[in-house]
Amino acid sequence: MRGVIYLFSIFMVVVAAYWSYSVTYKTQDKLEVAEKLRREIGRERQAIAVLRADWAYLNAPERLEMLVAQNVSRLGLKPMIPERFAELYEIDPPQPDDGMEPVAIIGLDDLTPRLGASPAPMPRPVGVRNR
Amino acid sequence: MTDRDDDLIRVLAEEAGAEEVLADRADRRRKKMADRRKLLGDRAQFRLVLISAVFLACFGALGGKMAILAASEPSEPRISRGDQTETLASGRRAIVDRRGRLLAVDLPVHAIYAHPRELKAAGVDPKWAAKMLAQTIDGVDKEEQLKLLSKRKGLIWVKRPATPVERQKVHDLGIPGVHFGERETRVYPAGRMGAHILGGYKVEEETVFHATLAGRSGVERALDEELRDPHKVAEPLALSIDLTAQTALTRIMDEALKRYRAKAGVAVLMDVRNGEVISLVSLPDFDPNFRPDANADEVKAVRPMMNRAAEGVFELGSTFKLFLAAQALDQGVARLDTMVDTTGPIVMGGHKIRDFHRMPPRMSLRDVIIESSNTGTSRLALAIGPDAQKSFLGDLGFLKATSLEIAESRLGHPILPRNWGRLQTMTISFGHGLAATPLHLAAGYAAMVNGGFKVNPTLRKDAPAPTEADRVISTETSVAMRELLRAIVAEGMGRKANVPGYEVGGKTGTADKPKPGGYHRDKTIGTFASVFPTSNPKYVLIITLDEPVEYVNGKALRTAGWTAAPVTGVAIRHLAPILGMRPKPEIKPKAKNLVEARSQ
Repeated sequence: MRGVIYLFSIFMVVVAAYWSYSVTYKTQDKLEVAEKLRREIGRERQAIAVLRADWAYLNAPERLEMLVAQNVSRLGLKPMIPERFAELYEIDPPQPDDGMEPVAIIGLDDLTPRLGASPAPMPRPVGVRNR
Repeated sequence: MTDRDDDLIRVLAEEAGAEEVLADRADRRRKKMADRRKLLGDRAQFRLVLISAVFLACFGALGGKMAILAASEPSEPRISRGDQTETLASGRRAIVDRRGRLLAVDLPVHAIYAHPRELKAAGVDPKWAAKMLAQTIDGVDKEEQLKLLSKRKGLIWVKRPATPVERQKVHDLGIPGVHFGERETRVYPAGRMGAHILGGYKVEEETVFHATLAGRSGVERALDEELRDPHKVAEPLALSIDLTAQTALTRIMDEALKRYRAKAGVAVLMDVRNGEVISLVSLPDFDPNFRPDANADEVKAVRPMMNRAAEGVFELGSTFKLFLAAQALDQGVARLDTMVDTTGPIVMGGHKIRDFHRMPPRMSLRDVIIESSNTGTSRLALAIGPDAQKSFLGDLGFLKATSLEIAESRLGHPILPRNWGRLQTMTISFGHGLAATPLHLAAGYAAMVNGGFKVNPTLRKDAPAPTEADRVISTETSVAMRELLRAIVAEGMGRKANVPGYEVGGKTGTADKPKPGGYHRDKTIGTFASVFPTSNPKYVLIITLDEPVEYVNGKALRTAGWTAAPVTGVAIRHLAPILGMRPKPEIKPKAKNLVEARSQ
């Protein structure tokens, strides 16, 4: 009986040792992966910072001014002064001139499905009576 | 003693007393056994306790480690730098404007350095190496490089900072002993726009592996600690500056300096409600990416690095008259329709105070301000008294340097009269004898029109609005000041600053430039302090030109009404739409009343 117990515990010790070794190595592998990822994130962040700086440089006020001046015949951009002040919604969206006639003009009402021939009656607001 | 011994005794000694001896022996034996059992038991118990203690300790350690792992924060992303790895947190925070556009940011670059000893050990001819390096990179001198490379020991810098392209080119040369180190450099994508606000950086400590950047001037220096804070490195610092407005204002001031042949110019645009500086221009300026050498003669002559808005103290002239009017109204010394004696000149202490042009002998306070009468404000200032004047100007912040978050602001300490007597009170009432920065004036005017609250100029976005504790004048007085400023632009000396649709109000101020022992007769500083829109003021704009001159019919005009005022008009015309302000349709006063209307 005693021998069985001894054998069993030796077996268990071996199993536990194997398990703990494998876990240790797995952890080390994962740590390495994590470290690699961290470096990659660091590199990516740095790349983002560089791209941001590049974007800011390309959009630097002095550069934009120069580009506007160079392309004045194409873009026709002018300084914003009170006479030209308008909100975005006040301006007609520019139509792309692709040399083609507009095919059809679709009204939004035509797109909504209708039940039967006559449009469905509007539900009467609650609490309002005909007088 | 064994059982056999006992039997032997029993057999051999069949005599009396033997039984006793045996009993005695058995007794002793039992006792001994009990002792031994007890000893073994104790030992076993001790072992059990020991084992459980060891197990407890082990499991405790495991549990503790798990708790630490569970509670620990994920570590910072890393980047490799040369031989060692360092956390990214060594960088400096970016600076953005109020709409998130980058104004300053760190960029990874390289430093190229060489070990002459390694060069020698590899058998490389220093002449050849110097020639190759000079050919490859701009700004590397062959002779100088050769001298350095021929040295025996140490480390020499070839170029720092070097761009990635330069690094690659030098790398491709493959010269042994030439190495690269990682660096960070600071770039200012907007160039000279906002240069004085941002300031600049310097390399604080440098090794082969890294360099620490520190603020040198401007925001970079004043908020150095915040910019270095490793916990916030990922979130940029937002300033109150609007880059578009800053650019527009810089351009307009460029033109103004040319047009009026001025030596220098300052423009400050401030939010009247909380003192946020929307843009701040000081000309001449510089590009922080290519900081000029402050010791060069041509730089010394122009002083482009001086922030004239924050550290330049000038006498601001008649713009101060508004403060006198506000105080007179607020303290009940006068009302806007109170008639004031404007006969001149006033002679006091060997000084003559006179008006710029002929004026009627008596004028209402309103007209005194609109017509800008020095004699009128002087008499009112005497009625207010030196102490009250001083404390009022103190409340507005004119007695100490501003708290703007740039390193130079503490240099802008106002110049106050040594002896604040009656004469000084009179001259200060029209802006002479007390010199302050344009920023002081902006904050003062903001307090005049924002309902009467003192504001502190600030570069931080979303600055808190002042509270009732910061009140300097009553709301009624503030409303009167708005109307007064509007009247000056609508009908007074500031007409050239008018912009239809934006209800501009403002006050001119022309100060003769001081020279040792007096004032120049033909050198002035023209200032125009404006507010728009006066019905509900949002911004105050201060424009100051140093030695401006305008020629009309061959006559040189140097007053602010002819110089700074028209510049203000142009500036507001361009700035207001940029700031998202819609022009108000102006109702032209056709007729004063119905009778007049019918008769037309």
